[in-house]
Amino acid sequence: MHSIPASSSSAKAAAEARRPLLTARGLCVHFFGQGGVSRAVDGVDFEVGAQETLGLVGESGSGKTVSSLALLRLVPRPARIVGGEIQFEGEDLLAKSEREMTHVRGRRIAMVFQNPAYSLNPILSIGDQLSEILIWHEKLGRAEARLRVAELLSLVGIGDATTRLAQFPHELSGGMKQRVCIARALLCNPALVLADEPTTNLDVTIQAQILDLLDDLKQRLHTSMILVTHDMGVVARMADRIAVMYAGRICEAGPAPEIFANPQHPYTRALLASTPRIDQRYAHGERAVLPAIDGRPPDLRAPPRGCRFHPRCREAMPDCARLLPQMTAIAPGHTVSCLKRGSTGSEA
Amino acid sequence: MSAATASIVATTAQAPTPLLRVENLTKLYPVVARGLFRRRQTGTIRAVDNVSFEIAPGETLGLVGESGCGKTTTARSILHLVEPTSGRAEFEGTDVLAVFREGSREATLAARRKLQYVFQDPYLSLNPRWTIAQTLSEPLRVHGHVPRADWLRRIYALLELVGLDPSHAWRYPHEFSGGQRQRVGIARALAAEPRLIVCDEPVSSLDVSVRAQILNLLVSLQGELGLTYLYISHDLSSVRFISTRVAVMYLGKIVEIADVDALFEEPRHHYTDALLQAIPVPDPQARRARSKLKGEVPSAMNVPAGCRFHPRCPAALPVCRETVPELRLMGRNHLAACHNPR
Repeated sequence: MHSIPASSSSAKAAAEARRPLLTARGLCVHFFGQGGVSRAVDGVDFEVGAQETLGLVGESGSGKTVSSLALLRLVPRPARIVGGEIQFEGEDLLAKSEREMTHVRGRRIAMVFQNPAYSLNPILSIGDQLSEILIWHEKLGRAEARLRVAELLSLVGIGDATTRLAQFPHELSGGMKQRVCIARALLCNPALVLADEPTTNLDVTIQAQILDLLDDLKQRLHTSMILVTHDMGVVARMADRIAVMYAGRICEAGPAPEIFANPQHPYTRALLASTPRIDQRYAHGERAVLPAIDGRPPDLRAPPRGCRFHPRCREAMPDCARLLPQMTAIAPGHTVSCLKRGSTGSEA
Repeated sequence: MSAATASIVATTAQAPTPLLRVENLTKLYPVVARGLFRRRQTGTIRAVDNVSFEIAPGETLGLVGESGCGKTTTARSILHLVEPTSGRAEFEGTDVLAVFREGSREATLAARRKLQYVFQDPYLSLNPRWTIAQTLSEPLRVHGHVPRADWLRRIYALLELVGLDPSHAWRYPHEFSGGQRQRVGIARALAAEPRLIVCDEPVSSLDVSVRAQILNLLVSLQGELGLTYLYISHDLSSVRFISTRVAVMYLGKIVEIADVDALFEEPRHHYTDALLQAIPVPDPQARRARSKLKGEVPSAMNVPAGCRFHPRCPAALPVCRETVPELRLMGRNHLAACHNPR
């Protein structure tokens, strides 16, 4: 059914790549707000292999950003991680003390945020705020740190890096700021980079440059990446594997080509179908209809019983409103949680 | 200049007379340095520079470009939401800019009724202290085209038209999701019974699944009510879906304008091509070539001489540095401003 790598060396490499760098199991993050408990992330499993890019896709409120923040134990109040485990480089991140976590954050797992303007300190020069990280984590001297920062800035395509060190964030364009943020993430040579909508605030031509850059750096530095985005085009361009999230749960996960060529979950299918494409002709006038998904995502304080997508699902059957589907493998590496596709369901 | 414009107008003229004809629209913003005692003008931002185009009745013209290229300023100038520096905008044969500038209140209102605007951010464009019924009755009150006794019936009809429940009339904007608020924004525009609606990034702040609902709504309303749209967006995939013709702007100028399929399949301007290449397609097999476009959009305060795109253009010739290319015909209904087209 699926092609198996022909040569043994590539099979070995594939096995190497399959050994996960990070594994999250049963991750639950709940927001304890005044209006009740919102189950933003509710039993999420995923893994990231060495040198692999995992695309975490979903609409706003699906829990993709909260999941990625949970990996760094940075979920904002009133949210708390209420369950699950996160194995990273052989250690359980949820068992670590706050002090031990500071040695992981920015050093082994680094983050690139959506809005570079907000994630840089406006009153520190680029050189100061980036070298601070090296002085803290790597115990480098000031001069040595600045040298390494300049090196990283030229690596991310910022010309004339030494002058840039003295500049402040407001003197840089949006694309440049995001390059600085990427350089900052890579300073300590992390094993995993979390990129949360890294190009959403940028114009398309700048987005293309940043995506090219991330691609290059991944190849050169052998870093793994979790790319959080709502843009199916961006994951198609970047991800090796994709996990599609809906209302706090993963509904489908698998190799990127497989997810696009052979999507199984009704939500994945609907998401792909409802996105207009630039490489497709559309009829005009009355016949032009995009296959939209009716309704809207549920309120996570009172998610629907059973499958969370069933009220909007065209294929829903009576059991979907009763049983919560579990992730089930339908092909090597391709899992789906849908009763219609053979998933087992559990009460509750 | 004027001869060139005249020829453009002649060649793009389609069988029906255009609903809207924009000629040499220009909007300059002064850049002012504030000293201790006086203000000094240190430069000019050419936000919109000699833009001309037409929209035929019933069509949807997509206006695309990156942020800062002047697409929103163009639309706002046509509606006189910002005062254009020069240029004409003829709507159904009358110069509406002149009407907005010095016409009587009656004439201005009559013109406003026919030209409505749907804003990008449905969170900011609705009054949070007004119920939806108040928001929707405002255009009815201002234009007075519906007798007061029929307002409520009209409001319910409008809500149903945009796919909301009539009971929603008594709610406030914060009680709605983004998609529902955008439906209210559309209903408010429809309340005036316009002929042309400017849709300024109407789906940009919405989620993918809701975006498709709003795009479908715009299309079905167009068929039902015979509307004409000027659809402004930086999102080329929604433009491909909804537009019949597309104009591409770069640094205040239209660089290419053509029927939608021709523009997306055979772009003639190198900027259009680069823009299309830059968009990631939801298909992992279609790994694209690396982006050809180096550098960033120059500041509109200091536009390059000659063709504005030449410093970033992969096919720039010496002439591009000196002479500003005019839009010229490069195929059926296909205009591009390039000395060395693809």
